[in-house]
Amino acid sequence: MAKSTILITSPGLQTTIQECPGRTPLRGHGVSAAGPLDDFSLRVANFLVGNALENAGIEIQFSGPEIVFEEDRRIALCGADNSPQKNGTPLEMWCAHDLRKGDRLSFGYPRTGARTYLAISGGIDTPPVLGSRATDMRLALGGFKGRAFEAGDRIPLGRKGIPDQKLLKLKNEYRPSYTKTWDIAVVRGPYDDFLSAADIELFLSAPWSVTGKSDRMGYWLKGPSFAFSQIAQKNAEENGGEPTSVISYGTPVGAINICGQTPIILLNDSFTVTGYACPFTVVSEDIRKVGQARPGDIIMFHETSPEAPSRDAYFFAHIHEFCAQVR
Amino acid sequence: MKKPRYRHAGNSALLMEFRDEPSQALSLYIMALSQHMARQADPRFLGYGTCGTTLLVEYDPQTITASKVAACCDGWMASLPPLDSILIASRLVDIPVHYNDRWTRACAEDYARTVTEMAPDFDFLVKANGCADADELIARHSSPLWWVAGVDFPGSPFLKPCGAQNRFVAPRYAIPRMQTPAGTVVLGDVFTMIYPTTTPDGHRMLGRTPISFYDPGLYASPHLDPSLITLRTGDRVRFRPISEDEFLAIEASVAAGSYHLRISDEREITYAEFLAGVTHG
Repeated sequence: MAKSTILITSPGLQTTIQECPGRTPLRGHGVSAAGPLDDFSLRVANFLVGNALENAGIEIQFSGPEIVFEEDRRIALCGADNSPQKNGTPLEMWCAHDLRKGDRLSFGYPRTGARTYLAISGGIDTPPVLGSRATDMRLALGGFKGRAFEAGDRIPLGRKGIPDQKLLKLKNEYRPSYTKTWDIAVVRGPYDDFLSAADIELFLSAPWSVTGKSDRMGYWLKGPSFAFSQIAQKNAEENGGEPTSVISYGTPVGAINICGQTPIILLNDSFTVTGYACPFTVVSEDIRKVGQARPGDIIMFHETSPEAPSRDAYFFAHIHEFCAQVR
Repeated sequence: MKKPRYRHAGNSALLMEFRDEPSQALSLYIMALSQHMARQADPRFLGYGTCGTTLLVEYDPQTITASKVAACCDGWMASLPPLDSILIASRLVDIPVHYNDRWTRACAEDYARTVTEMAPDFDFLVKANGCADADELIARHSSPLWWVAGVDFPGSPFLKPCGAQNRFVAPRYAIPRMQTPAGTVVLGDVFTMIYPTTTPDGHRMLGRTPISFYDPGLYASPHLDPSLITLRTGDRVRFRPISEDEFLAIEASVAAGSYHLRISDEREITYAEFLAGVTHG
């Protein structure tokens, strides 16, 4: 039996299939995690359409696609408000909508935030590769043919039309607000000893500008220069090169490389190993904020304990309380 | 083994930093330890990333704390079985390399033009390593036997030379290149790496190889199938210098599916033999 599909009539800037938790279990083999940069938005969208939170959905970056639905489906859009429309009529974000066969979904351009997530009832049903449907564009793995959408693509959907639950939306007070200045929580380490005390003070107080070199592999920041610690300077003397050039080690998503004088926040599509010292690491639940920041935005870091409690645990356990019926 | 230092790597990973001197013995110990940890199949632990002197432990912060993770790791270190019982399968693999090729030269020239002025990598390496000319650098790199110390996805080998005297001067770039051609052979001070796919990177480029490092079927499989990867940890590699014409001929043959890698001397070696091979040649 042929799968239902949606038709991509216009692809948008970079529209890809993403899924939580990506290939995280294979990172130890050198496979990038991939998956949504803003996992929170994709999970909420999945909840609103009656999917499992870990179903595959669509990540939209800046300019969105144009999609024609070929059968009745429930959808939800969460993340940056990029003015979604159904047949030219505005659709509310963070809210489930029932689309009928023939309906056309289109988008404007977000004023703040960078990424919007589309969940469709039944989920996206492309073949999983190496354990996930997430797209790894560098290796052309997973997703739809390992790449961003192109005009004419027909994306297969899982079986399920309109779910048997009332139309829901996330209450306004629980919708994240996007901005041009982002406050990102970081944990000290692994190589904070490569920065001097003054450098650390600077790192945690300076406004860091997101440069245009930023993408799903990493966000390149611009800001003040570091003097580096004695340890780092000795390191430079010993390896005949850079203060932050070290023996390669494995890093999680969120580690902040210092290459020369450039901090680079490593994101979902980054390599799993680095040869540069990372003095701070973004906490897992703030990666989504980095993923919503745009070139030109400002990032400010503040330090937090590695054992600070998760906000997501409570939120997703009680998500139904934070939603309201659509009237 | 000295007690490792635990460094926080965010709120969902801990980096075990071993204080012992970097060595093949340490690398193998860390690999054996990560395999031992993975076999425990504790669902709170999400993954292990091994390198020469470190082991990254990724965990679910909603179910376990960093201090508890460290305690578990200490326990697993204590329960690790003796390493002498490990046998490593090893094959001798011939890897043709076109040294000082025009593609990596063009890549380096592009970087010098657009990012920061610097000598092309190959020329830099000849000078930095006190070689009289290109041929001397090529001889120094291709004479020793190299051991596959590890393989990164998808099939990118990390090689160490036999004989501790085979060291090179090869500092990384301060700002990484955004692109490196597929098949590029790069040099670090005590290692060589080869990139099967185009990639950002900060190491010095030495040359290019036309062989493929993984079967295309690797990408189609629902789960990771290691038999589809060309090189394995424990293999021995001989770099064979080739001309550009030979490179292009092999490249065409690989694309047609008719190229066969020269593999010989397939046997099982003990952990101690592997160590001796890397140390003494």
